[in-house]
Amino acid sequence: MTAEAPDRSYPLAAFRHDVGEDILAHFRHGAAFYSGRPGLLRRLSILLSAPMMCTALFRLSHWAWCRGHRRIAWTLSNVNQIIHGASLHPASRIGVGLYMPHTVGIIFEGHAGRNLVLFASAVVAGGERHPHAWRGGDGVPVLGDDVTLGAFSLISGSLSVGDRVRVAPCAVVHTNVPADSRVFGGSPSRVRIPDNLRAARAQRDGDRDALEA
Amino acid sequence: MMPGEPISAAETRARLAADRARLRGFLAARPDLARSALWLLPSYQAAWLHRWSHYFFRRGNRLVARLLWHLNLLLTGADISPLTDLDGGFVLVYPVCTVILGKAGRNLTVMGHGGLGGGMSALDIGAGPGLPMFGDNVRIELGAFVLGPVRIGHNVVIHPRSLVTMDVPDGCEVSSNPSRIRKHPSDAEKETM
Repeated sequence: MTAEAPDRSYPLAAFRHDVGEDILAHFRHGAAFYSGRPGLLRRLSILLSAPMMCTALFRLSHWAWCRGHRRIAWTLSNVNQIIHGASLHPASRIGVGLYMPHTVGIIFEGHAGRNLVLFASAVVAGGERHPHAWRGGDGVPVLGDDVTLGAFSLISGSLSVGDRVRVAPCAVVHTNVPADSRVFGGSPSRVRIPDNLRAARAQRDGDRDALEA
Repeated sequence: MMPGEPISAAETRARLAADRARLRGFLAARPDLARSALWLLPSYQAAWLHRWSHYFFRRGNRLVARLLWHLNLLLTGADISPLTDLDGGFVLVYPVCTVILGKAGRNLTVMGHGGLGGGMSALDIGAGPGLPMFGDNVRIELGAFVLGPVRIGHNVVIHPRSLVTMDVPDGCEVSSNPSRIRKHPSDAEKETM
């Protein structure tokens, strides 16, 4: 768990370092598609991919926020949302290695450690009483290192999630989650065959049985 | 669907003022942000664009209404149809991936990522064909859906990721199945090995 104090300074060197580490994380996650070691051209091609541009724009908006340029930060965040469909609050502190393979519908308002993975439409948002309340981490979730959030999962409220937690797709989290645990979704789907289809299928199978006999 | 009676610009401005007041309440923890950059927040952009889209729709100027609707979808990611009639004090906290269709009373809060709309039947209960109708002070949490011609009463809270296709009386809370947390020590051992 990254229990770092709320640090307002985020120099440009830190921005460049984070983006470089994010590119390496993208390379690691895409290892099945790439081969060899990440050369300059490969890194450039990863930087120009949509998820990585989204990550870099978020880091840039966070840099502007920490410099005190709130309007620039919000504008960059809005541009990011228009281009990539991800609504990332510029005040969020996210450690290196952020990976969002599909950015559409992601909402992030909180803090996270290293190697966060957000799948499509994952939501991390403040509690119901204090949406947009930004008081040094109060009222928003704080995530540990190596957390993976499945598609359409939702974490909301002033809570903490431990290290190496995996949240299943469509799961809803409202309580603290201890480290090394997994959260499963609430309502698994059921498959039902409509009666007319079932009758047709029975008839077909019966015909086949009659043919084979 | 036919637009109802034309709505006056003064009424639209009054509703927008109520939206602003409620949004400022949400932003009370950050008074500097609330004062300086309200128009930069996607929440306020979505409310503003929808209010004027609805104004032009009710005036019969559908082209402008449609353009504002599409601009809203482009800029904020919220799909709020011009025929949606929301009374003052509407707050949409996270506009991405939100669909809003229907009719609502005062102080509707939609957290986002879900929506209200039709698709279940064509029955018209006053909000439009197959669309839901809401009372005052309704809060719809993240990812919840209210679908079909249903009546939602006053002071209702709909919990995250729940699906509502039935009427809800006043003062109720609707919730969905909670998730389960399981400890996986095998994963922890794998990490340390």
